Amino acid sequence: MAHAEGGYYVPHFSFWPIFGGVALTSMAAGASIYLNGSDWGFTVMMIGVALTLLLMAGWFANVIRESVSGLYNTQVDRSFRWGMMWFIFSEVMFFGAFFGALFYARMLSVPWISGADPSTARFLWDSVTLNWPTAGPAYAALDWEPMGAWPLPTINTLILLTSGVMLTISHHALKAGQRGKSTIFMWITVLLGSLFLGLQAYEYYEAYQHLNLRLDTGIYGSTFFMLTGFHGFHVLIGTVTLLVIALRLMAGHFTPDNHFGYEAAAWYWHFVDVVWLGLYIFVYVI
Amino acid sequence: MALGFGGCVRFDGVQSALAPVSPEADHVFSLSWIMFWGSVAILVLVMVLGFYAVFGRRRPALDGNKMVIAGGVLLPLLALPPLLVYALALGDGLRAPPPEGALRIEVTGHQWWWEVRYRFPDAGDDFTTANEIHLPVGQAVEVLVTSNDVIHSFWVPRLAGKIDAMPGHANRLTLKAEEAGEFRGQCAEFCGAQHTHMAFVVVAKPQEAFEAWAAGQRKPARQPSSTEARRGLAAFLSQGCVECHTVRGTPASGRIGPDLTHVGSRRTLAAGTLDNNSATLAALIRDYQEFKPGADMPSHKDAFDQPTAESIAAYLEELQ
Amino acid sequence: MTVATHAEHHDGPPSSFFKRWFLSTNHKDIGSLYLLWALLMFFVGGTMAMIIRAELFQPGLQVVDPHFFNQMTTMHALVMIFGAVMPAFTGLANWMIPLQVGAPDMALPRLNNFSFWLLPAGSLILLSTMFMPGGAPASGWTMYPPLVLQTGMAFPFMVFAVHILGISSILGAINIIATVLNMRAPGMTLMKMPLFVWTWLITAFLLIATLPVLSGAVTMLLTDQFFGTTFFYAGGGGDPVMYQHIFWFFGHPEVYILILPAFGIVSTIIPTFSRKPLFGYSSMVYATASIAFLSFIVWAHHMFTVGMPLSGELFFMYATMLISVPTGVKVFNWVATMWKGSLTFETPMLFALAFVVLFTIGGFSGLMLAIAPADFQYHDTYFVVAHFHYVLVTGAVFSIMAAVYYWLPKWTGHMYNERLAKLHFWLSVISVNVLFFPQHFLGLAGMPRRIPDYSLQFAEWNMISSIGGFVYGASQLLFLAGVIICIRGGKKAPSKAWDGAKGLEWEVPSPAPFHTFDTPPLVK
Repeated sequence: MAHAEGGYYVPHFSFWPIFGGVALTSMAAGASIYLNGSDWGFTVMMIGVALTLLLMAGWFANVIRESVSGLYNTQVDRSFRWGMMWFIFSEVMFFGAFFGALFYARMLSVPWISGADPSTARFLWDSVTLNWPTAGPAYAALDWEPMGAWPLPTINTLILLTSGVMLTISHHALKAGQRGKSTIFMWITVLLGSLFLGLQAYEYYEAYQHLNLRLDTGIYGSTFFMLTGFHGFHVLIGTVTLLVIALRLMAGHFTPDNHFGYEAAAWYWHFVDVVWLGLYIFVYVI
Repeated sequence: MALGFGGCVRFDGVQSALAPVSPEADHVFSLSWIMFWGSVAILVLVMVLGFYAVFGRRRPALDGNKMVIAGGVLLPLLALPPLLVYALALGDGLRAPPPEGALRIEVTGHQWWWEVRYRFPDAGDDFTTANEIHLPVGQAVEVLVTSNDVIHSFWVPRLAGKIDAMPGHANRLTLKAEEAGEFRGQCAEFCGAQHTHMAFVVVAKPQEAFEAWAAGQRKPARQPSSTEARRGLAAFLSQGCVECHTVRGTPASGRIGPDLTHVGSRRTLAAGTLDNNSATLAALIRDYQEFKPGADMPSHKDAFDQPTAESIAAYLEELQ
Repeated sequence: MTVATHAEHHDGPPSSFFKRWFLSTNHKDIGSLYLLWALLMFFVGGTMAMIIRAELFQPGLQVVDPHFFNQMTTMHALVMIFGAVMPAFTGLANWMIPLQVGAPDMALPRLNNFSFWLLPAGSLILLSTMFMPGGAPASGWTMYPPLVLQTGMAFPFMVFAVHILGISSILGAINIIATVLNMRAPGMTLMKMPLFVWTWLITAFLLIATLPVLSGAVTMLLTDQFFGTTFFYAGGGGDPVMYQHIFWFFGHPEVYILILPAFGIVSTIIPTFSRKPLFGYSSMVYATASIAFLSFIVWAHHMFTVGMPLSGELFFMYATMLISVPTGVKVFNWVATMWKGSLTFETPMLFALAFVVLFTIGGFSGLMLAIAPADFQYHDTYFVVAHFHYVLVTGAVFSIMAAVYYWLPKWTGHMYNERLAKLHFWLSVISVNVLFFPQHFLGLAGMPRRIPDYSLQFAEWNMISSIGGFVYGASQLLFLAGVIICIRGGKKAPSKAWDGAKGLEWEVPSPAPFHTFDTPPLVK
């Protein structure tokens, strides 16, 4: 039922886009109402979240159905590739904003406050001296500790790197036609992803319970939790995606030379991996 | 709803970057004209070329490549470096540190008024005023600018370019007025509902006059002389004014609003917006929100009556 | 939702109104939706501009209170940028890029409709804030903290609206890149693509690179407001200036997002009505790419007055000046294209010519603003307002008008009413200069922007500017009338509506059939 048989597949109409508009509106409006202090906004937001999940499930199911029934030719496949690639690029830029904030705070704003800009330091901050990690001059009395690189973050780094290797092994197996092996290694990847998430959650627990390190612990807490938090959220998305891919792998959706859904998920996972390396270096180690 | 009162204070020409009275503003002024006429000349050239392209008779065959390279590449590459070099020299001067021992003025932006603190080598000589800056003519003065709440921008067009008042930062500007006069300054960074009514006055005067003024400002507030003013002082001290305002020499030492020790000597009220006289003063005391909705100063319509407001105004007016 | 049935195969549009306009995957219908939404928002934002000019007609406060005035300036900018100009360009891209590259549709048709529906969603969330207690955001469209954190209930709505509009634009841009890179007809190499396609390809790249950064910035605002982070609070080690850096890293490329497609349109129209091929095609492509590259390294010229080190000012001043080189190349290429051409002056050409002249004026005022010491005087004055309205109104908006008149015959199958269109043009081009040119003087003389009340010395020019504004606003109703009349009827347009026109879009009938280029054409 492609628009022109053998040509580029153009679906005729779709309910999902406008459904998505409603879902996101409900999520945004609900969250706003909730943040403004009305509890019913939370319900609206959760309806929005549910609709968004439904949207993704329905939309992807739609695409999978079309893909499995052979409507997509190689040109369609290329469109998906370009689309995924640039989507990941936009995600990179999103993280870029937060890395930018981290670098700015460490290299410019904190040094300015503590003397690099003499008038500011003398006039406004009574010549305090701050060294990274710091929460800022107004939080000087706060008793807290930064998150060290050892042990949890380093273990997490190893877990995530290993998961990338497992995924690559799985991919090679798929391309070699060894579906069983591919599936096993995919499940290992999913498992490692979940382990990472569990440890990350434990790290947050540690930070709040024992280090008194919180989201509102000045600029260190802000950058630490926003960067690792958004990354963790992306790991969650990636893990769920890989889980779906594992199930599809078992259902036999992928052939050795036609499995873009698989590859897109793998790209995403590697992207999450690379962002983590940046985090590990700039947030934890240095 | 606010009253329309933009026309109450006349400042014709006192707020124009096109009437510079300092070397810095003057350099920028000349630079502006150079760039303006340069732009006009190039624009006219391009338009004449375009017009000729469209309507010219017996147009010569044109080497388009040469034209594009000459006009699009060479022209900017030749015209811009001198501009850049000139701008660099100028920028260096504009941000140069003030000479040793220069008078230092600390200006803090508030929504929506300016706190002005004069610093002298002997800290005992320091004093604070608001919305009015007096300068000795011909002397470079260091102005340190910061903000108490949102970002403001300190700008006296006739004296110098603007510098932002940034919460948590102090920026520096050197002011030097070459001639005596009164110049209007205005907040130039959007800062909320009353951004439009956040102005101030810069008064440049000869050294002796400046010193006399500073000596006057340094003194504590004078005692009220009339009965009404005495009643005003009593009301001022009992009606909560002291929570926000300071009048040196009285128990009033609030830091939220402008220092009123010498408010009677100032030219304007409500941050360069209204002429300073007792009627306006009384109206502002009674219902500030009517004039500047959103400002921190509350309406006192219900707290006290018109005679009380007038007596407070009478007291404040005596604070020369 | 489901795969279409065979019954609709190869037919025209679906008969159901709902299905056609709400569930569409057709690039032409989605393009029309974008354009209609942009037109609606153009009038909404225009009404706000009229309120602004009415208040500024005289000094003092007459029409609205300052807080409402500030809401108007803020919303006017947000609505015009995110609701009118960007969607108008996206609508043009939707309509024309598949036609110009010989593709059956956009590369990802369903995603295309998703991009569209996020646009009314985001716009309506934003507009709804006007009816909330405390009103709409009134912090200026740049949303600088700490001021923006004083916004009332509108604050989270504004942040999420920016997120949704951002997602809409990012997905739209992804679609355009995929279409251009993957859907070109055989034989159409990159260097044979029409310039409109080229400029949009580069614009799409800018969108994907910068809108996520804006999303990040407003997310930080949100967490600063509600969750105690201190990104923009110096006491917590952050800095309000940091927001400005992040914002303008988005903001400056955004300016070129609003102007590069305009370059493409003008580069399409001028050759058509000069009956000559575009002069210096490849230099145009490279110039566009250089402008896009430079747009990433000039952002801090919006922030010369924040108290930057001199070395920073030097770098950004220098990089900004470099932009004049590729821009100059473009202007001279347009002049060279017209040289010895046999020119006619239909309305699209008039708008394109006005674009070249008036955009150049905007370029010169931009150059003046780029000189840091001079910018200390011009920054945040009406000079800046004049500058960016020359670039955005007589630049971006004029190019959109030109494009609409140019392609209306292709969209509707009818020629527009030339006399009405010419009247629209002449009224617009005169009134827009009366409106914005005096603002240069106001700014140089020292009138700050975003003030509802001003000192008396600025009264005369403000009155003139307001009169120009009212005439300009009213004459846009002629545009609306012209478009409606053209949709409803008019002289039949041939498939090639302009005799000098080149390009694949003119090889299909007018109006363009519901589906075009099912079989890709061969480009030699």
